[in-house]
Amino acid sequence: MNDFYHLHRWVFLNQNGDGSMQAHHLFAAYAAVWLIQGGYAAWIAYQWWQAGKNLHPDLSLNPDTNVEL
Amino acid sequence: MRRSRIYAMVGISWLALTLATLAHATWLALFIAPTEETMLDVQRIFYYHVPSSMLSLVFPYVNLTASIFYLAWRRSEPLRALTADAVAIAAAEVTVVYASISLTTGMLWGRAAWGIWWAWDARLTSMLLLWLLYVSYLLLRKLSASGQSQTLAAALSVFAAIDVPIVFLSIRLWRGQHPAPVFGGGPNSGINPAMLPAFGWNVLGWAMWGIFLLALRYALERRRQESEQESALKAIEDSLEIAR
Repeated sequence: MNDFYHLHRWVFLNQNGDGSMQAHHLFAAYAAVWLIQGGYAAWIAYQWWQAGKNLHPDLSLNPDTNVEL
Repeated sequence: MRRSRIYAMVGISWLALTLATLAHATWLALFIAPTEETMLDVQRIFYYHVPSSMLSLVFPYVNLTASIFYLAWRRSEPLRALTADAVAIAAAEVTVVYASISLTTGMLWGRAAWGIWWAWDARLTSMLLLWLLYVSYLLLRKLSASGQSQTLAAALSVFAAIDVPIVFLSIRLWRGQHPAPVFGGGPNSGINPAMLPAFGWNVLGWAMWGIFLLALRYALERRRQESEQESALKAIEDSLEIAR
């Protein structure tokens, strides 16, 4: 494969315009990897942010020393 | 500078470097690596499937090591034990992520290359078992109400790790549908040297990504532990106020 244009044509437009099983499965495998990894990372980042919101609700910390004011 | 800000800067820099590495690795895998002669382009799944499978056999040992430290420290040094426990749960989740990818990409590749989605051969079955063991580890931690869930999960992780060498050795000991080992599998094993850069960069990129996920999940668990400790302390303080 030479570039993204040829990749796109190979996946979606070859063999009477509907692509082949080989192309679909290669595309699906790469997409599944990024969906699973990206989805998991986004979920942890969201949970981490949520958990931080309720932390130290009544504490004021010195930003330089991290010691309670 | 606050320690949390330094951690954030290191994390963002690591993530940027990891994404650049993965972009380069994906470009090599899709556009530069030569097309394999028999399977043709669908063989390019190899560059994502094999690194994910390799890493799904590495993170269980992080989980095992942290679980052993948890069991050793839980009575004598409870605060250090909590740190080990946070590493253990992070490693178990990352293991499930990589094993899920290994199974998913393997099935997509198998359907295109062999004509079947699944075969109950030694490699596929032992990998499915690994996935089930670490899913049950996470379910145990999520659903157990005994107050001993961390200890029970740590004990389970010792047994779960036994499956890792079985997965690794399965294609060396038993012949099945899954291909023989590509690396270290005897005189006829190995890949075209022109494929090695794409493979190497993908191993590096996905390993860096796994370390990033592990650190992020560890930070989340530490935050949860801190929040639970604060709630417990506040409850004690409130009960003392009532007693006065």
